[in-house]
Amino acid sequence: MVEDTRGIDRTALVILIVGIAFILAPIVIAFLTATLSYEEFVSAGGIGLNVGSSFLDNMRRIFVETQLPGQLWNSFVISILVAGIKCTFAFTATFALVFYDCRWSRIIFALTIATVMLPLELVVITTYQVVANVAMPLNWLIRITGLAWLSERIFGTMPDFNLSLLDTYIGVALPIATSSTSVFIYRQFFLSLPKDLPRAAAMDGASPCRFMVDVLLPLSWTPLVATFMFWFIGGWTQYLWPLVAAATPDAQPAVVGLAKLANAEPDDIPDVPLLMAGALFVSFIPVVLIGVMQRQIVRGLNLSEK
Amino acid sequence: MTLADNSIALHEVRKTFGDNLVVPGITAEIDGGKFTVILGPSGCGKSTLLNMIAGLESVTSGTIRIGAREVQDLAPKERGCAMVFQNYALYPHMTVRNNIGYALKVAGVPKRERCERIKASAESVGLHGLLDRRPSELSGGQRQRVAVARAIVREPSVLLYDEPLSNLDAKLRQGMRMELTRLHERIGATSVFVTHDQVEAMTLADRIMLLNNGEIEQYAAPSDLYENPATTFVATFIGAPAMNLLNAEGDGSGIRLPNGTLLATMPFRGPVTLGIRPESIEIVPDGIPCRNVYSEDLGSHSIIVAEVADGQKLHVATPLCRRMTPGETFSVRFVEDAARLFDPTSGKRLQST
Amino acid sequence: MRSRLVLVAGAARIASMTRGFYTGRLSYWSLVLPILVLIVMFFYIPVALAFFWSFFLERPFGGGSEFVGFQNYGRVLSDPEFWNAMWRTLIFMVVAPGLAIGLSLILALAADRSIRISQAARNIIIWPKAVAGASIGVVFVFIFNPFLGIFAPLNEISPGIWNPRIDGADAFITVVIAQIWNGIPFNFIILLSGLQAIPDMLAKAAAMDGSGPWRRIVDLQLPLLTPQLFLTFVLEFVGTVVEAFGLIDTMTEGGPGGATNLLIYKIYVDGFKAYDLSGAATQTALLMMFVIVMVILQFRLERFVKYER
Repeated sequence: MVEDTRGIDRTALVILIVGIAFILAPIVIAFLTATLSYEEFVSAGGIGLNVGSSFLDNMRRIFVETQLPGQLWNSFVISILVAGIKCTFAFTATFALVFYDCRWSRIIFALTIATVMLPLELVVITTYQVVANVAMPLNWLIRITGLAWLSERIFGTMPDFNLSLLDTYIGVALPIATSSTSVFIYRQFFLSLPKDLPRAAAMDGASPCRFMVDVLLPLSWTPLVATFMFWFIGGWTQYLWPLVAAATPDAQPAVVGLAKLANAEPDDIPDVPLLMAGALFVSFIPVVLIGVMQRQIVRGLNLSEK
Repeated sequence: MTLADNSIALHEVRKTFGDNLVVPGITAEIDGGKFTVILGPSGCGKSTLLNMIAGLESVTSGTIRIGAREVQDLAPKERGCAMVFQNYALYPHMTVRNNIGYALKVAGVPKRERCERIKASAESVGLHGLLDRRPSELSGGQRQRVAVARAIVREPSVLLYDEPLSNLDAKLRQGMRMELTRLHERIGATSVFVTHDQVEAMTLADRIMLLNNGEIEQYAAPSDLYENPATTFVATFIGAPAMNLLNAEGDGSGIRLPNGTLLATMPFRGPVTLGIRPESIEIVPDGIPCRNVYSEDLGSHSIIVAEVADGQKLHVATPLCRRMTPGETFSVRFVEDAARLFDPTSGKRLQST
Repeated sequence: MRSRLVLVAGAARIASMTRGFYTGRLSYWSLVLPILVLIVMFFYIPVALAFFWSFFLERPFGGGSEFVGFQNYGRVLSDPEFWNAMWRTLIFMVVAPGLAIGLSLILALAADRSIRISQAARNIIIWPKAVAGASIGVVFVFIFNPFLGIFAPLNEISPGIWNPRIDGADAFITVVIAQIWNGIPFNFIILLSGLQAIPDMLAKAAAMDGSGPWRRIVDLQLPLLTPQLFLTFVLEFVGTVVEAFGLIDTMTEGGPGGATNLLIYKIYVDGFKAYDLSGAATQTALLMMFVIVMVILQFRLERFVKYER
């Protein structure tokens, strides 16, 4: 188009520079501070633009003095579990909801989507109760069905099962994985496919499961990769739930470890260089992931179609 | 295998979706080895019928036999049918080779045999050198060929087509019609072809089953359908422009318009619908008076839309490419052998004609 | 009769298009069951339990539960600290999303223009999405430290002008700024995707009608972006209620003097520090009802912003 866009383009340029500066400022400050030694930091009297030479030393201290490296591994495992569970469960369920003829599908779809409305953080108290004993519903069931009464008569004891998932990877991951936005994303994607595909597969003799594995799975690669990355990052950045579900430092993910580290520092002049190095250490993997995979994630989530 | 082995017998086949009756009960025989077209307007139940033959829809009641076997309760792969879909339904992530060979792979055919059959099938539809492409890299016509190759690779006894040409442009469509006819002659499978396009039906079919609201209006050879439509529905559905239908009255010796103009000399008494094809109307110096409303010159012939005395419209096809101005009057004559009489209330053709 | 049949056939056609194709019961339920068990166990049971405990009192020393009717609600609703926390939550819910979405919109409109920097901006602006709220808190508490941070020079000129450790308003502002930093990426992605989905043809048509690029923002882009704007508001409202926790826990711990004690943080402290299960559950139930009402209200508004594209 022949159009004079210099004015608006110049304004856009200024806006974007300011925006990028706002986003990068904390990262740059954290990085600059992480290059200082504690003594350099104290003598500089706070924030500044000096570049020190202690970055590697601070990183070494993280490995020697803190539990962050082990907790980074916890974060990694928990995030993989969250993303893996979310993607596989949502994929199989959405396949059934879209490609099967069942009158329950509407209700099940509504039940899964409703989980998006109330975030996990809102119900941590009672989620903690459930994870502290995942056999609790089983006990209710036994009591309601009268099996408890029966066993009391026969064995003289009430059965009371107890299985705590606190301080375990799976116990931290499962409640995070309940939010089912993926179902919505996969559904939109499946509905955009040619509607005769399952029929063609049926004519070719493929069973529903064969169709899911041979046809649907390879076709869904883009949204699957995107949602996996997205939930991996989502699992990594969780804070409140892992804070309560993992009480021992050995089980805590890195974000919780970092916050504990910060809270343990004295208030007047904390060891800020170490904390900043820790913040970078904890955030490095997901930030690189989002920087590199940005295109795939945005395209796969298909946010433009609502 | 003799040809009769792949005939399809439908007996009282019914289909309901919830409370909706879509196919109220069809009984018919589809000849083995022949090309049968199921024709009808959209929503007439023709695709449902095809899907029931394929096994993609269950029948609500009734039986379907292919050859000697009763198949209505069998899975699609056990029926010996193959299908070409409307939007091709090719697997977008597979190469042409894997698309064609997927059915064989599922069936566990050894790799060596698979390769040979894929190659033979692809060559028979003219897909040389495209085996390693993805569907997205092919033109519409090529995708159509892949869909056909995928269907014939299993050497089915019955080949089903669900409006496969509706996505192609007019020129490609004619080419594909010719190729499908040749393919049919070569492989000799029973072909059932669903379409709403009467030109496809007329050109491809050995026999046309014309459906309306789930019921068979007429089941006959194309020429029969054209010349002797069983109902006014058939008369208007087949032919472009359609057969003219005029409300008229028989006085025992001739069929006349309400104002008395004689249309044809036929021994019939009482109210009647007279059907006449546009090309069976001749422009003559002296005959039924008409007034031109609109005319189209198509080069090879022209179509004139005219009004007869009481305002009823009449389409006239004439090889004389006459330019006519709107409002000009002229007169025509009906070729009497071609005129057909229908019952004005039931729409059924009266047997005397 | 005939016209009715045509209608019926048409309806069946639509029905058959939306209906799934496969029919197997067993495979259907085995595909759906994992997610059902997951959400029932770890979502619906906790939600139900929260309501359960809001009507029951936990007997001390693990002696089971005792039904107390609306007593818990009475206790919570007559506690001024609950209303303070609720009120602060409400202010936070209006201020932080409003600013985050407004800034995201401006950035998205700028990044939608094809200038050289927009590719880089589209990438960098979403980085904070990958940083946990708690990590941001650790960094921002340093940046806004009254003696070490960026406002330290101000305090040297006029001592006490900026001190989030003492001044509640200052503390609130730091949490809001950190929340905006964290909230921009997701809103930015949604709004930018929305802008890019506006057909090019429309911009050309508007240009032919004499509308310049500035004018098109108001006349074309913003109206067509309303569904995405609406979506960001829905997500941000619910999000800010809970996301602030990581920031508050690392930056202010609810202080000073409760100035940043939002309801989500209060529930955590009541439940896990003061071991008041029933009180925390009651506040959870109230907060859930509040969120549900907000979401329903927002979806009531939705029909005003839907366009067929």
